[in-house]
Amino acid sequence: MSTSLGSARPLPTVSQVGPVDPAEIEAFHARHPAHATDDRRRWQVIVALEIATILVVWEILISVLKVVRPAFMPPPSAIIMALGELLARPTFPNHLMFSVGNLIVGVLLAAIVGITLGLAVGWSRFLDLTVSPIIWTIYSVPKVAFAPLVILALGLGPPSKVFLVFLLGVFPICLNTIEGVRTVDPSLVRAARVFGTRGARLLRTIILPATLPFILVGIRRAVALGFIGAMLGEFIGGNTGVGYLLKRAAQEFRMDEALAIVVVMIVIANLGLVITTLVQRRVAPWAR
Amino acid sequence: MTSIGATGPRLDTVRDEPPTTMEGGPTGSWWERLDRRTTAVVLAIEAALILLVWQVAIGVLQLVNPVFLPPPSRILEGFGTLAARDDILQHLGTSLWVWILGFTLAVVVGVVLGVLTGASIPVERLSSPVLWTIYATPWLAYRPLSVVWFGFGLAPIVFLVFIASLFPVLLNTAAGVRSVDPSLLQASRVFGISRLRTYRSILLPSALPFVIVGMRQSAVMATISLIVAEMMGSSVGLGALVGILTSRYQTGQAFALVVIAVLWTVIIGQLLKAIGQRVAPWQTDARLS
Repeated sequence: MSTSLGSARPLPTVSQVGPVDPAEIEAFHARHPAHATDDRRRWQVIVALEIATILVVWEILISVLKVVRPAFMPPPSAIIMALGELLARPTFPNHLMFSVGNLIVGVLLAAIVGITLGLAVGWSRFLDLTVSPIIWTIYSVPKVAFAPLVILALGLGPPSKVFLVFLLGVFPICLNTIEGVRTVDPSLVRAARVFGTRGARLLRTIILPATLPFILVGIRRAVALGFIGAMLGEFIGGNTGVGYLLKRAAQEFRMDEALAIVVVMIVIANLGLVITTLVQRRVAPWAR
Repeated sequence: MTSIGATGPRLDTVRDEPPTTMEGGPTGSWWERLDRRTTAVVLAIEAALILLVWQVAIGVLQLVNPVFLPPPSRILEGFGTLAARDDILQHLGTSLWVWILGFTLAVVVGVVLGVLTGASIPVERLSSPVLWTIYATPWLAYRPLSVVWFGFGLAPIVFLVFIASLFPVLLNTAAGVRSVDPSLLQASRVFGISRLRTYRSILLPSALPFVIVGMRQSAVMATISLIVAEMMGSSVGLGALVGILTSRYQTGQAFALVVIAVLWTVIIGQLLKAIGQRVAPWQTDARLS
């Protein structure tokens, strides 16, 4: 993966971090197809069995043996039932669309501003010298501390949430874009100029393709961070969104519902990552 | 992609310069020939200018409501007001204590789990469902849950700091262990070194630079999660104070608190960087430093 920012490096998920170089595994599998499928299938079965065991033990410990009060840690069956109830609730789509909508709008705004600024700063030495330090400084500020202020300034509705998403998402996109432009091979740019390519065409044919993988890494981080921003906004102010539902459920000690909402959140957050990965495969298949 | 058009003018200005600008040749403009010290001077002047413009635009011209973006003078005043508070040490002391507790827990657990998952494929595969579930959950979602699990004291805040800063250390440590030179492991096997000693003398030192990088990422996460956790449902601590002051429109003080949080994180980051250079001086990769 074309990561660039030491501290902003997107962390691979546990399952992604292969023990060996994936290419090596693939090469091995190509050489020994039977062994590969056998090995992979065996591990799939083992992990599936493990998950099933965990769920069964969890269920027995709480439903039958009552080791912990279900109010603290409900059994899987209760969470699944609560999830069904939650999804069937007529107001739920409203909350879901509120959160997802704010996230999408905020990330789009962050992408527009972050990519524009990143291309300009990455391309121009002068802007790099003068603007980069400012961006890095703001990036290092824990912007979550401004959440109450944002609510105060923009109110309880969607604008404050969208702005929080934007605020948390714009810097990873911008910094990754800067880093991406810097990696553009100068000889390519020179060659393009020899053939009379400049301006918008140079940007489209040379700079953007080389920068795109970096931009997409930035956007993926922006989705993850932006989701935190959206949830934070809903926790602190307002009465709509899945974050608000979670806060309410936990306050009223409805732990089964709270965990069901967490399941929904996991789906939203990871769906965002999956979508950006799919987009990356489509628009920048050369990036790994 | 509306962004393309917007960058047009910038590219046009660059277009007229000689191609050597991409490499920063001596024919470039004055800003491409600056040495480090001049660069620092230029940046200092720039910073002063920004502060001045900020002060004038908001403090004098009031282009934005000073409550929402207090001018530098207000923030400076905020430091004074904060310092005069009786309970300021209690707030900052509590935050510091919770930060250290949560961060230390995360580093200890993260390094142990990271070494185990990095060194053994079965452990990695078997632990992945549980670890993935914890990691895939947005860390902020643990805040309401932690209140149910741990009550209203400092414990839920420590828990949130721990869970938010665990994975940078864990994943970096695992990656570091996996990057260990296989010939070293073979050599250790040839010499019949015990398993424990292999971990201590080969895996851990190789992974150390990665652990430090993970710790630096974790330190940032610890600060962020600490502020959020205290802001939501706590009455003591830096984050709680930010929330209280903001709701009273005393944003100059709130910004001053944010500056304190930034300084703390930067100091820890520099400290870890220095430690990293000391324990792993061969690690010169700029991306890691």
